[in-house]
Amino acid sequence: MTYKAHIDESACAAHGDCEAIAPEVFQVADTAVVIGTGPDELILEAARICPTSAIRVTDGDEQIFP
Amino acid sequence: MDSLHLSGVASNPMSGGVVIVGGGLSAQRCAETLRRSDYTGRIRIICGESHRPYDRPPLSKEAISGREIGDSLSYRPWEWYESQAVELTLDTRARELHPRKRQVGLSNGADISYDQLLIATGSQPRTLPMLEGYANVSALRTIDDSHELRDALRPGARLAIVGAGFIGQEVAVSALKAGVHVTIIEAESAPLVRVLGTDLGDWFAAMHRSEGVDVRLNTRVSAVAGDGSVRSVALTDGTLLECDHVLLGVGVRPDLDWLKGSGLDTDGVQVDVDGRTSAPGIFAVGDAASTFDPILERHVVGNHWEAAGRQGARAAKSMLGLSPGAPAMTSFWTDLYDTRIQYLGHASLADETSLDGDPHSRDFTVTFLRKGQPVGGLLVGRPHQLPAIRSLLTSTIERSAV
Repeated sequence: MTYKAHIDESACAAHGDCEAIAPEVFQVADTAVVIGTGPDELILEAARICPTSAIRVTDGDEQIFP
Repeated sequence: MDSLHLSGVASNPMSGGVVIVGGGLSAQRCAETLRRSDYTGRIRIICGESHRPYDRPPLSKEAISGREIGDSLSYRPWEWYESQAVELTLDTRARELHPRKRQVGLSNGADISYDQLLIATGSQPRTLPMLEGYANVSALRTIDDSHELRDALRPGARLAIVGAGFIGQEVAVSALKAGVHVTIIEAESAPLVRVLGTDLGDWFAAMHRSEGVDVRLNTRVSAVAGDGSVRSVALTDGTLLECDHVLLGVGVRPDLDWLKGSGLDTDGVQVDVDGRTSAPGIFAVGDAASTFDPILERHVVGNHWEAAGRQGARAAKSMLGLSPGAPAMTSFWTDLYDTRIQYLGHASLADETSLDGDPHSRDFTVTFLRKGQPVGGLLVGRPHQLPAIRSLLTSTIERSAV
């Protein structure tokens, strides 16, 4: 549970896939917003599945995705 | 920020508030953005189908490849509409618009008044006159269409798909998964050739062939045999193709017959970048709109899921006098054979392309260039590279705008 998600709001099209995968981390309104933390693997899966690749994942100073 | 002159009108049943005609993605987004922006007036959504607003992309994918999807496509549960005071009228279509009276006539006989109107009636699949009236010919637009198609996709069945656009290609993938024999019939020299050019078009054709789809290019249906149901179609290249079902994927036309006589265009309502028409209080979005594209410097009809969603939200903000911000770049995505394909920008502006990666392993990027500057990109199997391409394109656009 050390991964952190960041949303590029200008890229997000509010598909909602991230919220479906990790509702405790993402909530989709006009764009997705990060509302909490969750399992690293779910955050990474959400970033990979995002149709607009709008989720960046970091672990401390390290960039995990993209 | 307050909700302007419209706040508080919910208590006044005589107020028209916002009327949204059409129950798709842009309708839903508009209603949600209005409420999130503290609009307290009346919101009514007039849905032509018997379903509340739902997500269409799965209709060509999960919805037809076997699994029962039930109610899972709906954007929101019924309770949401109640708690947000968004009134849904199902199974009802608009039949006329009176801009001067600010009224919409509905198929249930009611004339309803609006303060602001969103035209979001989307589009209908085009048909081919030669294939009309047969029981086993279908198109794919609604949840009911997808049920019909799913029932036809039995293992061993032979499916002829007319048109190699996204719908045709996605259905081909799903049908193969269901054990169906698939033939695609395309009038052009390659799938998507007008959007993406010959090299990429050839790549799409080759991918489908390598998976076992029979892809027939440069040919059309010239004759149909069958009594009540199509048994076979003859193609202009001389082939006779036996089939159990025919899917038409030959594009869409805006669903705007109800605007006849209103003074608004029935072949795509022209709107500015924020969804405004020239008529007071009337906005249009999604497939029903012909939206001004500041990069192409012209109006563009029909679009994709992402555009429809964003336009719905932008129109809501415009209605409230709020700034919708800069419009997002054109983008769309698809998944074919479990490979993510993403597109961004304007390939039509390009005078050359550059390739990075390996098309054979479905892992590559094509960058579309105009005078050496990137204007678009297509990514295959590389979702992690989209942010970099996006910022590259954004910086090009910003530079050229100066």
